[in-house]
Amino acid sequence: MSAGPFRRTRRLCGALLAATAVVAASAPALAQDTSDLQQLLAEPVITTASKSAETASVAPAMSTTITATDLRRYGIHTLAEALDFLSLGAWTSSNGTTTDVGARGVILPQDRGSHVLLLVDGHAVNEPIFGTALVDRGSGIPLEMIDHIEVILGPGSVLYGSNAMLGVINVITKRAKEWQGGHAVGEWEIGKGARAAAGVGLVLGEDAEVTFMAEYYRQYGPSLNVLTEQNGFDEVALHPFQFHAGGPRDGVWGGTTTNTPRADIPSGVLHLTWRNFDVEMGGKIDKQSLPYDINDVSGEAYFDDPYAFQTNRHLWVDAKHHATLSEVVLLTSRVYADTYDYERTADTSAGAECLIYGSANCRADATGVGQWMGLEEQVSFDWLRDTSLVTLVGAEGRLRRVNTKTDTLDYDAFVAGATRNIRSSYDVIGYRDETLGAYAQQTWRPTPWLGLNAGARLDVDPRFSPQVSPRAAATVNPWKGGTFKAIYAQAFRAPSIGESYSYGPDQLAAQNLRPEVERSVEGSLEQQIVGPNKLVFGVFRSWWDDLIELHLLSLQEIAQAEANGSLSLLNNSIVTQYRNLTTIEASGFDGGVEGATTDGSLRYALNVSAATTTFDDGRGPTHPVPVAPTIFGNARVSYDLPGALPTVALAGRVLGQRPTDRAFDGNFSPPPFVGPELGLRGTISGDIPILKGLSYRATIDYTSASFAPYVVGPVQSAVFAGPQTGPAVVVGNPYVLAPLDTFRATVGLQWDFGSGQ
Amino acid sequence: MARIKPWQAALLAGAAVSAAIAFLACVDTTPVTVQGTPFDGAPPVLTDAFVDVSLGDASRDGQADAAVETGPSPCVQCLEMPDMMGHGCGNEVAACMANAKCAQAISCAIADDCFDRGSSAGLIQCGFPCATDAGITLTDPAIQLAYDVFTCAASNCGTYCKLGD
Repeated sequence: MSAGPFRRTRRLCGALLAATAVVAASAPALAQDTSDLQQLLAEPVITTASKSAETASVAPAMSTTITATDLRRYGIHTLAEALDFLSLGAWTSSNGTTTDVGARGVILPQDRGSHVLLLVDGHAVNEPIFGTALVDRGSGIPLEMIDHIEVILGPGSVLYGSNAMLGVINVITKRAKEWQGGHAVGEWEIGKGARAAAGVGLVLGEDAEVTFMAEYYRQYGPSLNVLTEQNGFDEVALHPFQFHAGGPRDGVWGGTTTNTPRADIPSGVLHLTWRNFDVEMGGKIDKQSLPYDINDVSGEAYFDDPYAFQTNRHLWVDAKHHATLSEVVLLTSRVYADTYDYERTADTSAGAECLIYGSANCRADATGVGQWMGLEEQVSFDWLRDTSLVTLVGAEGRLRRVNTKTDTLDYDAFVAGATRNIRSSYDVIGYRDETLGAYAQQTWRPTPWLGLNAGARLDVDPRFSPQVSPRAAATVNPWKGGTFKAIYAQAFRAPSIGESYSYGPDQLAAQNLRPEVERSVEGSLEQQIVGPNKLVFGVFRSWWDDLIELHLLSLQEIAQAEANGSLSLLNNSIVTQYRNLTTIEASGFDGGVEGATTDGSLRYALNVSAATTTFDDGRGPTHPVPVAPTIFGNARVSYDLPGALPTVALAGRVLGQRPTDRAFDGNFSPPPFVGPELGLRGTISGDIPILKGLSYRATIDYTSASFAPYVVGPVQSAVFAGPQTGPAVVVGNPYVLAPLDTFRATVGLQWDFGSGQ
Repeated sequence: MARIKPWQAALLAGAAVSAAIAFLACVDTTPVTVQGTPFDGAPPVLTDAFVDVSLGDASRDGQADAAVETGPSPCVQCLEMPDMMGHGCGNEVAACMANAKCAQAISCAIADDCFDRGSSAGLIQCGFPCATDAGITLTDPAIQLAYDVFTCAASNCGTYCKLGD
């Protein structure tokens, strides 16, 4: 009989629902009991924190559960929006090319989401080359197929290994029993994009079911207004800088985009359940334009180039089997395989980069393939058969291989449809390894008011010493509805293969990178109030060590590298190398309140987090973490109008003032900050009575800020650092910040049919 | 609703996986080698894991070889660029090319890769026979023109010609 974590969640929910029916039949004499049961039912059951079903209040982490109802009610289109508008303690920040995830005062700009572990039904989708986990449109998860999202704050390496530093996001998809029939979705972001999706949920007899959904998203706007920089004359190319082929040679970077942003993203998820087997498969092709260069230390300088794009493709399959060996022992076996590849191509527009190889204009074309497969065995011992004393042990082995290269092509030949490599490939990596993780966790609830959880995971990676990630947590229920938690946890992030081995004409390969490590302590109080209303408040402190940074070499370091032959004499004066450099300390609080009226027609929530941080990269005075706000939060309220009238919802988020990514190392005076940002979203949704199962949803978004906290374009520093990757003369704006799209309207239709209900 | 048997669903899933894998044929990461281009960076340090890093090996892919073209060296590229703001030796080269003897000597030196010998001594050793063959003597005006190209190469194109010893 199947009894995996997710199944157990449903079984628990089913039991609770059955109990509800019994209690409801006994009303009104049991009114007080009904209220208690409402509280219990309102409390989400999560499976991510302990790899077993438990109520959120006793789980060894602070968490948010975002339901499918919330996603639809508040007009959510991406995982990033779900975090921004609906989660406690986490937020996202986009520079127009990548979306970063932050939590509890810490964000690592342009980390590709590698400091958060993203799971789909327990399958980790972070890839090994960069650790990428996309939460924007590129995540490739059709939202209508999501049952709920569990956002676990804080270190999660104790059970999941690398990347689970800021937290773990587990996307749980719907099962056919709750999603029977066909489902079709059409959505239009007016003037900017469109999405079409279709899916099906089929119950195949007593013990088998299939769910599947595929979607296609296309973006064709908006036009971005980017402040301009006058970059002057390219001394090497002997003409003013030109920032995309066919564009004017006037030295001006910026302006209004006409070719970008663009995106084409097909994706799909398939889930098959048969008896005790679960097989899931996901795939996506995420092709997005690169509107402008960001954080340029690589010689790239482009703007609105129609040929600058990045493509991420990912295909994965994950098969689980649950075996109840006895009333005490549950064995879960899992085998999985992933293939991921990328291509990123951009115009370098730096004269000497091209001219010395015989090309007037050239482009860098980076490609890579990562493939990995693994086997995980997990055994759970429910010693007393009542979940009060449970031992969980597991082991996971993984094989990985990575191949990458970067080519330099003649741009003009490329535009003409030909391929002309103008120099040999670099960043040529052929890598394969085996990693092993083993974990154990003991949970014990000796009394109804006390819960204990302790565990640790050992990760073995040939690139560094074995890494141990422990966690210890205690929960105390001193009074009715109240829960205290105290947690110590440690997490790590293994250097990505790219960080460990990438190199190039202007980048030295790293030397013996160590894993990043985070230690965290936190305490919280959660109080159920009346019915489904609850209050939560927690404090935390975290220490982050050995964070990997793309270090800019000093002139002395460059000379030394040239002398020992590890760097070409023809390099730029800007040379980088990944190093373990940075430490961060963060402390602050998370607080929230959420609830609903008794009949559920009015729902509300308010979340607030604040953190003070210290960022130290050893290059000067310490300062706050760039891009991270000191205070941020979100609030939402929705109301189901009576009868056939629609549901109206309003959600908002606030981010305090934030230093930009170049605020402390760009030598700009004064340092560039962005002011507070308010984002508002209004959503109206409801049924269209002309056709059974047809519904609509419309959203309007407004953002008060015009700029995101990222310096973009060729000028990344007020002090000119090199003759080839930056301008000799800058006139006008001293720096340019990434623009934000301040207004968006979306309308959509959904048709659920053939469910037989 | 049509009833699908589990094995049929599994077959469909398998077909979907196969189709997806076929659709997602991996990008080509075969490195390309272009002759005559400079050293582009250091390979990473080997670890306990198996690591195969090279600076380029086109032998695995003939198609990649076919796309390769050999261009002039960075030093010669720089020599041919017009003088401007401290870069290029186009003026000196043009003056030299206007003189038959100097033109012959410089053309010979370029053809023999004399400017890519990595040192001024190497250039002189390589270029002297070219000058002799061109009939340049110590009192010939052409020697001044050739000298101008040499000094310009060492200064304006020093980064690329490596004549700074």
